Amino acid sequence: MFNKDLSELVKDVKDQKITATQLVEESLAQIEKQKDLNAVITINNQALDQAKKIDQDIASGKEVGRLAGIPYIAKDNYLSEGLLTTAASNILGNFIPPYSATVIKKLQDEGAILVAKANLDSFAHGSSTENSDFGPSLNPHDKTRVPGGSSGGSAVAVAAGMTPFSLGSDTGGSIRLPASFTGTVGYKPTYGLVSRYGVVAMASSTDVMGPITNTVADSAYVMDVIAGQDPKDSTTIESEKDFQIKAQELKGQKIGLVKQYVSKGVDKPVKEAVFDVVDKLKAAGALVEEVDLPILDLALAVYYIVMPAEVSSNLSRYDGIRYGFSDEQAKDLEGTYYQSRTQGFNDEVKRRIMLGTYVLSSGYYDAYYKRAQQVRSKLIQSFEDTFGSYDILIGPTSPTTAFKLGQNTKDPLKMYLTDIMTVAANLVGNPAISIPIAKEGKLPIGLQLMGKQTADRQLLNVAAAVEGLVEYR
Amino acid sequence: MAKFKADDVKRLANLSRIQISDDQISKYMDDLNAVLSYIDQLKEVDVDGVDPTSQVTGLENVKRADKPKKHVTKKKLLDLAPMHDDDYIKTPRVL
Repeated sequence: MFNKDLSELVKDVKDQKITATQLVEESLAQIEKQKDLNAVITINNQALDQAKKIDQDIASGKEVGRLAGIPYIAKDNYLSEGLLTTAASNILGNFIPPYSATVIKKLQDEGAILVAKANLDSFAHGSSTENSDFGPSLNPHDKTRVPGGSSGGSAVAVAAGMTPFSLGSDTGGSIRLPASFTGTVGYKPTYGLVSRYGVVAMASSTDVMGPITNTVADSAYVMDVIAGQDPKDSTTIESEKDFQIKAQELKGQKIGLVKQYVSKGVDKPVKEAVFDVVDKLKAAGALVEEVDLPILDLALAVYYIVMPAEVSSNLSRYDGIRYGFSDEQAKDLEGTYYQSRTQGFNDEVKRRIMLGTYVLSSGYYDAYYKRAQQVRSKLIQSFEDTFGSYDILIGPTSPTTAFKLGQNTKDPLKMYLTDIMTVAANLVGNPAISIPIAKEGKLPIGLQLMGKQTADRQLLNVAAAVEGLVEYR
Repeated sequence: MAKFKADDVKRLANLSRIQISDDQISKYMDDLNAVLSYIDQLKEVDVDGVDPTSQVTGLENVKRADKPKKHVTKKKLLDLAPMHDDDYIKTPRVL
């Protein structure tokens, strides 16, 4: 039922060819039927009532929104008023937010219906969704494998036909990686294009909100609703008036294939799939060249200083005093802090907090944090220079296809390395998208395309053209 | 190359207001040391005269109208706290 483009689905609802109620019923039925995938933490019991309201409005000729009656699932780090929001952490296991994230509110205003909250790595800390306090999500293409993370539940929801689109958040690749592993489209907009207000903060200088969809056109459609300046998030920037895409004429497009992303450590089938796209791009008249960005080899090291630093700062708010889990056995104030945090956070969250605390601590700040921010400047400069000569940069989204459950959980550094191709876009702030291009056996392979900062529409146009070339769907 | 010892891990846990039991220390120490040796590669980079980047938008002094707006009620926020009165959040004793 959700195999149509969003624009068509909306038209069908407005033309009363299908009702919002039917769409939401189908969505809830799919979630229930595929419970074993563990894509969802909480179901919204109000969803059907909201759908009926939309159907009544349409039947009585009222004007309805741009996503009227369309069910969707949001990652469970988006605050949803009156509906449990856990960030997949026990410390928020009882947290019912008193207000909604700006993005949730915008979608609601346009008639979209939040049917459920998706599983994620706790606080979005992870690349596989195995780090959830609510158990791992499974990859619908092979249930012995991870869906990627941290927006794993959101990607599974779309890949398994539970909803036509979902929301994720991307701090170091958390939208693109699961999109790549599940054969969906995952789009991280330019930093600041979508409000972060009301989303559980991870690393504020790289956190970006975005959609996971079946097609590039659908991502653009959702973007039209969620993008824009928000007085409640002062890092938001002005948005394009309209993201509606038309597939870019590829002839003459200057595309850089990032050398560092197709060199060592990339699985052969992934590499072959990417070079196959390169051949198709060339055949379509694009100018594709290998581009050397040596500083990319340092991006992950920069990220694993900057991100934990911001994490340790953002997560200091969980104190057992104002909201969330609190250990009632604590005898004094300090005890409440220690015991609530110790029981509420899992090991990976604790590791990141401690690492962040270290790189920000007196005596180490200059050696780690400041230095990382300086290398970040060099990275940004290097991207600016490169985008002087190229319109788009491409490479695989991940060096591998979806890995086995448990394969990387014992070795945190190995898990971190799965982000190696995605973190740069977060540190630089430029837009990036993962689209499915091929399969190795049952497992999807994703291509990452990166655009110039704020040139999101151009990126989407080219991505749509590439999507047309590869005919994955 | 810097390396965490057991005491460093304990100190970091304390600074982070997290308790770590003695049998967990060596696992944390190993994990943190692995990451530390990875991020240490930045020490080789020449960063002389490079300004640090802390945000990527280039926005400065973003302002909005200083007008009161309706938001969440006091009661709703207080109700989230495990211990509260009508007007304030309560904590366990400090001393």
